[in-house]
Order: sequence, then C-alpha cells, then structure tokens
Amino acid sequence: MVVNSPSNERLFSTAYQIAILENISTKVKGFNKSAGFLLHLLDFRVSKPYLSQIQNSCPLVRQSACAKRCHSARSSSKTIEYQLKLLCMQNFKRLFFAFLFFAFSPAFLVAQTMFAEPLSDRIANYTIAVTLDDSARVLDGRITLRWKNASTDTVPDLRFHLYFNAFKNNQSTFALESKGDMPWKVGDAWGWTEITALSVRGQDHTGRMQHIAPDDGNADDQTVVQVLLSNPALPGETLEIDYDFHAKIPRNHTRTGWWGDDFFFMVQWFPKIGVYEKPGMRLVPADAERGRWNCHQFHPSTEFYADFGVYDVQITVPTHYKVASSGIIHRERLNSDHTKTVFAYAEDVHDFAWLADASVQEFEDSYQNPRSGQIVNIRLMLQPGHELAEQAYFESAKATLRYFDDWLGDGAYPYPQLTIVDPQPGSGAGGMEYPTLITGGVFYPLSWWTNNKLRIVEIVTIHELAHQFWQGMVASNEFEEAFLDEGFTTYSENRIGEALYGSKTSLLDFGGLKISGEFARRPAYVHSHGKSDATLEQFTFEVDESRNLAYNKWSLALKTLERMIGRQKFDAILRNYFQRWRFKHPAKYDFIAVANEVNGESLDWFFDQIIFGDGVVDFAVASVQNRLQEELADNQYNSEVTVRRIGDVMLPVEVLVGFSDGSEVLEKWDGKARTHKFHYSRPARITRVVVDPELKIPLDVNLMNNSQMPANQHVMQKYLLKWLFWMQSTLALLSVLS
Amino acid sequence: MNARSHFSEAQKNIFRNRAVIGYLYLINLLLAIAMTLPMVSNIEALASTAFAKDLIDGFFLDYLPDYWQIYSPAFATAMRFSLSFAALYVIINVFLMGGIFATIAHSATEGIREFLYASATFFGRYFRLFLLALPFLVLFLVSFALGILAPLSSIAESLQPDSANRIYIIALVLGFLLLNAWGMLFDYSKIVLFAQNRKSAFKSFLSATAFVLKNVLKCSRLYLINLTILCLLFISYFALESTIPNTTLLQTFGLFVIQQIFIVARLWMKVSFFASQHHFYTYVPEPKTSGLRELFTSAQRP
Repeated sequence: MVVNSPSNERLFSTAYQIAILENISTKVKGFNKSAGFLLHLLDFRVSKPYLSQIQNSCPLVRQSACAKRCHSARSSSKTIEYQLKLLCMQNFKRLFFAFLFFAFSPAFLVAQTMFAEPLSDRIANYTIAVTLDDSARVLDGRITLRWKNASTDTVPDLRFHLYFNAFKNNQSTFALESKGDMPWKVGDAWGWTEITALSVRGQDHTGRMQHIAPDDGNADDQTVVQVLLSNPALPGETLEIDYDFHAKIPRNHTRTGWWGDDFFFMVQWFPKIGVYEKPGMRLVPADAERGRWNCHQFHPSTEFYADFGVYDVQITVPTHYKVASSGIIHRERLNSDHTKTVFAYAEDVHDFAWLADASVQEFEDSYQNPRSGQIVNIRLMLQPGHELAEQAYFESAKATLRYFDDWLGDGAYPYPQLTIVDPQPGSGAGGMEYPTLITGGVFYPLSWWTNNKLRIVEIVTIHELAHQFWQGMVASNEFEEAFLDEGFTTYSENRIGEALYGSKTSLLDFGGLKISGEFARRPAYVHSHGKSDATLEQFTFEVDESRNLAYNKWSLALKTLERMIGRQKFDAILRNYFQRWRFKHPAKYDFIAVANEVNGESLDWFFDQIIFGDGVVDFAVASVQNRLQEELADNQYNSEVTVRRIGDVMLPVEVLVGFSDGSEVLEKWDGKARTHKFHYSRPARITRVVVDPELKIPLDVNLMNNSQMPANQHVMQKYLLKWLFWMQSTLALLSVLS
Repeated sequence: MNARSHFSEAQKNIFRNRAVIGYLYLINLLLAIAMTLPMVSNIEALASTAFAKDLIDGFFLDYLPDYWQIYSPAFATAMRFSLSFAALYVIINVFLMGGIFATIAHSATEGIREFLYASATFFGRYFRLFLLALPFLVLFLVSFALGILAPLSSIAESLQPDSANRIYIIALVLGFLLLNAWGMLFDYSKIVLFAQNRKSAFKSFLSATAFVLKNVLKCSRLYLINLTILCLLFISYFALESTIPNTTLLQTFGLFVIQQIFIVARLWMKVSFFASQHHFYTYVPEPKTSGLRELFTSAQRP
C-alpha cells in the first residue's frame, strides 16, 4: 500500500493509520516503537505534507525514537522511511510478535474494513480543522479541499454551498419560501457563513468569489458562492483548494445550530462544494456539449446533494463538551487553553455532521452480521433522563441493520460505526440523517406515558437508518428528486416496522388503539391536494406538498408496485438498484431502467402514470344486480357487477365476487376502461364484491368505495355497543356539572 | 358517627331507594341511545366494507382517512346532534336534583310522583345554583392552570424527563383535588339549598362554604371515601375490560353487560356522594351557618 500524496486516489488516510497505531498503543505499554514497524510492514511511505500532521496528532509517533529522528531531520518521506526501517531492524523480534498479536486484534480488523479499496469515486476530499467558540456561537475553520474534475470538461468555476446564509437575512430564498416562519429572525438566532480567504493551487482567489442564485436569481440570497478560476480545472485534474471560513451558528433550525447553552448540532456547517454533473450523469443529457454545476440554493422544502469523498476533520471545542460525528472519532487531545481537539475521520461519505453537547451521555453497543461476522459499532449519544429510550434505539438500529443485510445483501452498511444522536428536547434536531450519523426522535412524555407502546423512537431510528442506504449510499439528488430517498426510505421504514412490530401495530399498540406506520403516512397523501407528479424539481413545491410527494406518494407507490409484481421480484429490483447505484448519484430514470431490466418486462405503464403523471388511483364498485330467473328452476340468477375507475390512473386490479352459496370468483380487470361489467348466471346471488381484495393498491385514495357487501353484523353490534357505552360514559361524566 | 358510618348509612338509604338509580340509569341509557342512533349509518358503512373483518380484532386507525373523507360530514352532524342531547342530559340532571335529595332525605321509599314533584319544586333553585357553579368551575380551572400547572411546568422544564413527568403527575393530582374541592362545595350547596329550603342559590353556596370550612377535615374524609371507591371502580373496570377479549359476539355482549354494571355503579356513586354528605350535614347539630356573616365567623361556631 502506498501513501505518497494526499490526493492519491488510493489514499489510506494518515489519520486512519494513526487510529490504528493509537489503538495499539493504548493496549500495550512500551509498544510505541512498533509504530514505525507497522508503517514499514504496511509499506507506508509518508509524504512530507503529512509529516507534521503525524507528529502533531500522534504522541505515539512523536515520542518514539523513530519520530524523534524524523523530527530532527525534518526530512522527506525517504528519510522517514529509512528511519522506520532502522527502528524495525533494531527491535525486530519484539515487534514481530507484537505485530502478529495486533494484526488480529479487533481494532486492526475493523481498520481493514474502512476501506481497502475506495467504495466511491471520492470526488471531494476534505481536511478540516474547525474551532467552536461556544460563548460567541461561532465557528472558525480552515479547509483543504481536494476536488477532482471527473468530467471531460474544462471547468471554469467552482460553486460552494453556504447553507448558514439561509438564516442571514429575511430576504433569503429560504426566508421568503418559509413565508414568515423565520424563528431565526431574533436576537442571537441569526446565522451566516463567509469564506474569508480562498486559494486554488496556491493562488489567492478571495477576490474572485461572488454570490449567485442559480434557482431564482434572488440577489439577497447568499447560499451559493461561485469562484471564478484564474485557470480552469482541466479534465481529470485534482484541484487543491484551501479556504478559511467564519460562521455564526444560527439557533437550531432545520436541524442545524445551537440550542440552549451547551448544545451544538453542526450540520451543513462548512462551505461545501456542489456537484459538477458531467454529460450522461443523472438528468444531464448524454449528448450534452458539457456538464453543469448542480449547486442549488437552500430551500425550506429541500435537503442536500454532494459528492462522495474522504473527511479528515479536527474539531476543537471546550473540554466539557462531548463530541460525536460522522465516521469515527479516533482520538482526542487536550489542549492547554481548556479546549480539546477531536480527530474524526470518514471515508466514502458525502457529508459530515457533528455534535457538541455538554450534557449528553454516551452508550455503546454493536451489531454483528451472523453470516459475514461484520461488526458495526453503534454509538448512542443519549440525553440524560432518556434512559427508557436506550434499548429502543439500540434494538431498532440492530434489527434494521440486520434487515438490510438480509434484504440487500451482507455488508449493505459497510461502515464500521453508526452514531445515533438523541438531541436535546426542543432543539428541533431530531429525525434527520447524515452519513453514518442519525438523529433520533424522542417524544419522551408520550413514550413515557404509553410505556414505550408509542414506538416513535424505533420508527424514527428505522427511518433515519434506512436513509443510510437510500441517499447515504444511493445518493440521489434531494434538491430535485427527494422522492428517490424519502420515498424509498419511508417504504423501508414501513416494511421494517411491520416486520418487527406487526403489520397493524408498528407505530402504536396502546389502549386498544392500533396504528401502523403506513397509517401515519397515507392520510396526508389521501387528503392532500398535492397529488402531483414527480417530474418537477423538489424546491418548486410548497413544503407540505413536497413532503406528500416525497414521503407519502412514493412510499405508497413502491408498496403498490411490490404487491403488483410480487415481493420476490420487487426485492430483486431493489437489490440490483442498490448494488449498482450505491456510492453513485442515480436519477429516476436509472431506477426505472433497473426495474425494467430486472422485471424482465417493461414497467413503464406504472412509472409513466405514477412518477410522470399527476392522476390518482381510485377504483370502486359501481353496482351489483341480481335478477332471479323465475322461468328456470333452482333459483337461477342472472347477476351483474359493474366496477368503475374513478381516478385517472389505470392499473390492473383484481375483483372478488362472492355468492350466496359461499362460492367466490376472483376476476382480473386491466383497469383501462372507465367501467367494466362482469356477468354471472348461476343458482346463487351475488352477496359481496370487493375491488382489490388483498389491498395490493394502497395508492387507491378511497378504499371505502372498493366494496359492496352486507354489513358485518358482528362489527355493527360491536361498534354500536361501544359507541353507546362511550355516550353513556360521556353523559355520566357531564352529570358532574349538574 | 365517623365518616365511614355516614357512608354506610347513605348506602343503606340508597339501597332502600334504589329506584332512583333506576330512573337515572334509564335516562342515561335513553339519551345515550338517542345519541347513538345517528351513528348507525356511519358504522354500517364501515361494517359494509372489506375492512369489517379487521375491525373485529381491534380499532385500526388505518381506515380512518378513507372513512373520514366520506363520512366526516355525517359524523359532524351526528356529533352536533349528540351535543344537543348532552346539554339536555345536564339540564335533566339539574331538574332531577330535587327529587334525588327528596328521596335520600327520607328513609322511606319515595314513589315516582313524589320524586318528580320534588324535582319540579326545586328545579328553578337548582338551575340558578348550576349557573353559579359554572363560573366557579372556570375559576377553579384557571386557578389550576395559573397557580399549579404553570409554576410546576416551569420547574419541570429544568428537570430531567423522568422527574418532569412526575411533576406533571403531581400537577394533575392537585388539579384533580382542586376540581373535587369545587365538587364538594357545590354538593354541600345543593344539600344546604334542599335541607334549609333556601331560595337563594348564592346564600346556599356561602352557607355551604362556611360549613365545609368549619368541618373541613370531616367533609374531606367523607368525600375521599366516596372518591376512593369511585376510583377503585374505574380501576376495576379498566382492569376487567383489558382482560376480556372482544372478538366474538358472546364476548361483545358480555363486555356490554359489564359496561352497563359500570354505568349503574357510577350513577350509584353519584347519588352516594349526595347521600353520604347529606347524612353528614343533617347529623351536625343546629344551628347551621346561614350566610355570609357566618362564613367569616364560622371558626367560632361550636
């Protein structure tokens, strides 16, 4: 393995090497010197830019004889290599056995999984050092971004998201689209980010930055900044961009910011480069002359989109804070100024979030795949007093990881760690996903009062964890096609919730009331006026409408598709889609292509109507007629059933016809005509008709008109008596007033 | 006599006049049936769908959105209809108050004619007392919100969730007790109005307040006995209901019978509150307090 420059695609990060070494050094006293030996055996050649980083970061190396020599020499990588080899020869026997021991230690094995080969194309690789000033609620950071122009275009500019600027004024696009809902508009709640200095290839570009508003031209919106390059990025070139930023942290809004005195949830916190989409990628036509930047402004109805890469992050905070982050935290260093620096590292992720919380408690558990043995460490940052939720978090997370392994293939979640943040109540940071870090949702009083029978913690955990797959890895563009992540995720959430907690009770099973996860989703769609098509860009929707479209319509659509083509085939589609598109950026056409290919026959009849159309599904029983043929013996009836398609969407549907003699007929209707009649002549009358008896089409917006049958007397009696009792009880209660 | 004796004497009295409970139950049942009738078509609509079989196992809210988008107007109409009957029920209960006290004031069994005559005689006075009780109820609720809930909530905010929930439980218990204090005051107001044949609802209230303040421990003890038994009744019912499955017709009817017994028991307890407190009030020797003046001098009364 060769580590010769930070921009090397096969970079095995120095930070990660340090993580390995430090894990080792904490386990065996006197093993400091083995660091050099390990580096040697792994054939690491440490390049000059990393030398100071190693020395500063790793006391192990710094204190070792090797490092002393290296330090005194201030030498090149060749010198270091020489010194390492020298050290190894001097301590060969001792170090050899130690190496054997640690080579098979869990820390080392985990280290090997992140990752021998890059999982993604690693377009945007960040080295960040950031300091939190908690009293001023300010971040100051320095970033080295190594961005690769993966296109064949000569790219003349760069574009960065400055998400905090959504909260900079009341005329930002975010503010305008929030229509007055601007809680950041007071006191210390404002937030903003500015890049104070920026150089590309070592050349100062600070004066070549300008705010642009590619979505709406809003001159007051500063959530996107364009950098005009003095020399364009050549095809295949990796630019090294160094920049400093200063950010005022907003009071927590859309999950990011501060809350109370000691809670900082830092997401979308650094100037992040957009995605340069080359021809043929996502929605850019393959025959387009050149690619384009996809770097949208921040809208209240949208989330995010970024390239994969490596994040090597140093976070400096006051010592009393506990820190959690995306990826792994491999080291903490106490500084002399009552601060500490946390060293975090993540590979093959497209975002990096972190938490600094003074009061949070830390718990750990792990999930192990029973077949492959893969271990995922689960780190839970739990608020004090939320202990009731601890098991719910861990158990639901482990069950979800297991479900995805079974569903999409072993190792579906390849990262060594998952961090779950239980945010401070009131912070509004709950229920969100970032690569390898999710936030839970605890409506603690409700969980407490229902003795955890309201499974908010579990369902939110399942949902956010499902996002690790649908968007964390299969990284669709949430600005433009949010249904590709929220829809798939909500479908997964409902499916896993039902598998774990029962099909009718996955959300609530308390006091005789039972609610499935699907119930929580379906009403919003059924009652919405936003049954729109999905071809429009997400940010053109109102917030509620976009939620309906992204979460509810598409999750119901996937369930409908699953039931129509069968779970086995549907799972094959999802598995293929996941395996093919993870660590990439698919668009809806990519999913459709996979679905059609795996299904073996085109499913365009479905997608054309559901994705690209704005019609609704509504089938109904229009009429049932039974005519007794008196001239015939044996009570022969001529019967007729008329079924009707009220909605515009045409889907094949089953119709169950039941007769008075107990017999049943299951008819199939292509659902294309507005009405269809079924005729029967038999010695029994039709007693009941049910369209879609197995509820294969949950997209149907009115299930009440799907059947015609005599009232079930038991149900009538049960609920009438219940109602009568409720009325009696109400009256008895009201008599207190008299 | 102690509180328990007053309570047991009251039970004997109610048992002798159990027909009153029958009247109250009948009125409760008839009005509840009237409130249920508009729901028949709504429930029938639900029972005539493919979901019906699922509803036997439990009330799955999954079907609610579809049901609601079609039947919400009919449901709203039914609820408005029910509200009218609920208001009527309250008025009827006010009307019956005179009959109830006439019955429990006498150890001999009263007939329906005497019951209705006493009801009609006292209706105007009890109605005025009812009108007086409503603003006091609002006052008690506001006192609860501002004097108990708000300060305890501010304390709870700084606590950890478990402790905060305990604080809220304490707040609810205090609110419940405050509500019962209101109930006790106006129970005695009704008793004073009847026992002293007062015309003025307000003076009855003042006298009752003075009486309660003078005998606060005894009144509270007796009230708590009734309240405890009522609470035990609720707990027993909910425990019983949760253990009985409701998936067969027999179970449905069995549960309905238990529910009717529960309603009868609640009505019995309503009368028990009046009867035991009336028994206690009449047991306390004359002179009773009679107005505002006595309210402020009641501490000196023997």
